[in-house]
Amino acid sequence: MKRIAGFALNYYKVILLFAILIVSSSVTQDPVQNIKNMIMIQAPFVMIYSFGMTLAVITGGLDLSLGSIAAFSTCAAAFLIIEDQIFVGIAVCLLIGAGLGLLNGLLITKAKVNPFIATYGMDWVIRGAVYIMMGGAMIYHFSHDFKVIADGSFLGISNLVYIAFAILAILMFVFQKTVFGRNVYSTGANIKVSRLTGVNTDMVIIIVYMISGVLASTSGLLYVARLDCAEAFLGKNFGLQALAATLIGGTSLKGGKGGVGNTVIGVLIMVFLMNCLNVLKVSTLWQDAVFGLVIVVSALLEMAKQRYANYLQL
Amino acid sequence: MKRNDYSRYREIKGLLAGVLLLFVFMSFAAEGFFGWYNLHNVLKDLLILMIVASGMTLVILLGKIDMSAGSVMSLASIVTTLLLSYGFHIAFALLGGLLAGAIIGLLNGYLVGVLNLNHFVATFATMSIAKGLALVACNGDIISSDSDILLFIGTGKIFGLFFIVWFAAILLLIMFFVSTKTKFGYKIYSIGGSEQVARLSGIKTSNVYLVTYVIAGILAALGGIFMAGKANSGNATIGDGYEFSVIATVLIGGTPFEGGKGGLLGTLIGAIFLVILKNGLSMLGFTPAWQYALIGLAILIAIVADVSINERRKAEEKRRVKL
Repeated sequence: MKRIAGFALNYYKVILLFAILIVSSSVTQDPVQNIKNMIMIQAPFVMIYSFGMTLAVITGGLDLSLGSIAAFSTCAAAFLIIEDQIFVGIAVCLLIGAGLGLLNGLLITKAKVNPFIATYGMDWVIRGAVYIMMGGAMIYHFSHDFKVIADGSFLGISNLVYIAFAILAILMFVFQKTVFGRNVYSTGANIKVSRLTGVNTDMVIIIVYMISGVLASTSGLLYVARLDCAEAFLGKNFGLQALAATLIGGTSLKGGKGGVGNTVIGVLIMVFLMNCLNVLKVSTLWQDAVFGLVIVVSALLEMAKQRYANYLQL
Repeated sequence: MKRNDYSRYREIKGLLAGVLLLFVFMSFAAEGFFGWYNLHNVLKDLLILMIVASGMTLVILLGKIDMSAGSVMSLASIVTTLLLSYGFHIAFALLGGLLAGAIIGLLNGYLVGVLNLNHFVATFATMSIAKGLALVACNGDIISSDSDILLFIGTGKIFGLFFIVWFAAILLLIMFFVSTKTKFGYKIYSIGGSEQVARLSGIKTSNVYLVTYVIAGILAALGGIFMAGKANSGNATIGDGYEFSVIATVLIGGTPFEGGKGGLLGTLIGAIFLVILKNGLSMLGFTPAWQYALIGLAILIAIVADVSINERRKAEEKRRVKL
């Protein structure tokens, strides 16, 4: 019995993924098109901002301000992009993302505010700032050159997939192969020891939150290009969804474990799950409750994993 | 004990001066702020905030947190008005609302106290569960009620004062008594001081967590019912972001995140501060978007100040121990 539990805990992600896929495929008319749709168009967005959350979770914190950073940076950039200054707009967008991430990082390291409270508070402040900036208006009708970033495709595969996987490759390289990446993991695993061994932990954490901010504004930018509309409500539940995807993907809340590779599977689970609820005609109002449940379940799974550690081949 | 009381008074004194200053400023600067009509309404907002915050104070005294407070308010308002619209008696409707809060509280207590999950993330998850359930239950609509009693709870007056004033006065006195004079209250403080020591000295910590979270859930639900009574309708967004104000109230009132210190008296003053700020800003003519950002900023500043004061005190203590 314990051996079966161990097996299930080892491969629960794959089991979950296929179970959801089978349910949704048995209901839809055209399963192949449906799966293609999810992987090509829905998953890349979620993936990019979930990477940001994953990096923050690895340092032992988390970043709940992803959604409002995406909204603020894209709305500010939209004023430039609508004037056809696309490259300036994109640069400004990413810079704002980095700047807000820097603010998060400073609050956490220098002011020593708990990451949860710091980023949750920033989420409210930034969201308020977006409302002020936009004043209830939207910016839409961007030029073709900008929209093609998200709408175009190369060799039959959507640009979004290339962008997401390029980001994934860079992050995997940086976090597995470079000194900085190892420092991030060691900071997450044990901040005191890392500091004593000479890692500038404050700097590591600040840079991670800046990367997270940049990733949030990147996915925001892609959303705007895709929807052809910049609005203040963008990314209302980015934080919640990214947290769910990160945790179900197997990155531990205690920090120092997991990685962006795990999050790819986590994101696929979340996207498939949402799609499954959609094709089963469950109201979208269930979304919030489902995200919450996923977070609780993945926290419980992590605990079960520790309990049955003997039976796991990790 | 005497010395302890004195130092607590000293801590609150600065805050009290700030509140008075803010009050005087708003009275002169904001037209229509200083008048019985406005202040009476401010008092109502204050007491709703205070009811929810008193539950949160107990949770933070334990060194934990309850992010689900705002969503529980929404859920309770929806459950109550929904039961009314199905033709249930008002007593059952109110009971249903409180029960919803108690159930979410129980879930929180179980996840945090028994299963030892990270309290931020666990209650953040229950927050979205409660909010999701509220949205599903009302289908995204506002549910209006035609109950005179619910309206009375929100807006009715007894002897010229709102019903909530009398109700909250009794409730807060009970809460104050429970937190400072009973065994249960002592247990909360001792767990907040050091959970390990508390457990080793024979306190069943998981029970205390469960009970405290259930109390916090019920009080949040009460706050939601009062909010529903104000408009005589239930709304799934009534409590959106309210947990943030509540947490800030507790922190401004001098109960730090580590727990074990502070109490309801400070929270009351923190609540007065926040409510005057909120009402004053709207009286000064700031649009809701500006209020949203400014209050968020004020809260964040308060939290940063609280954390840095605590850090400095800790550093000071360390230095003394070394000497």
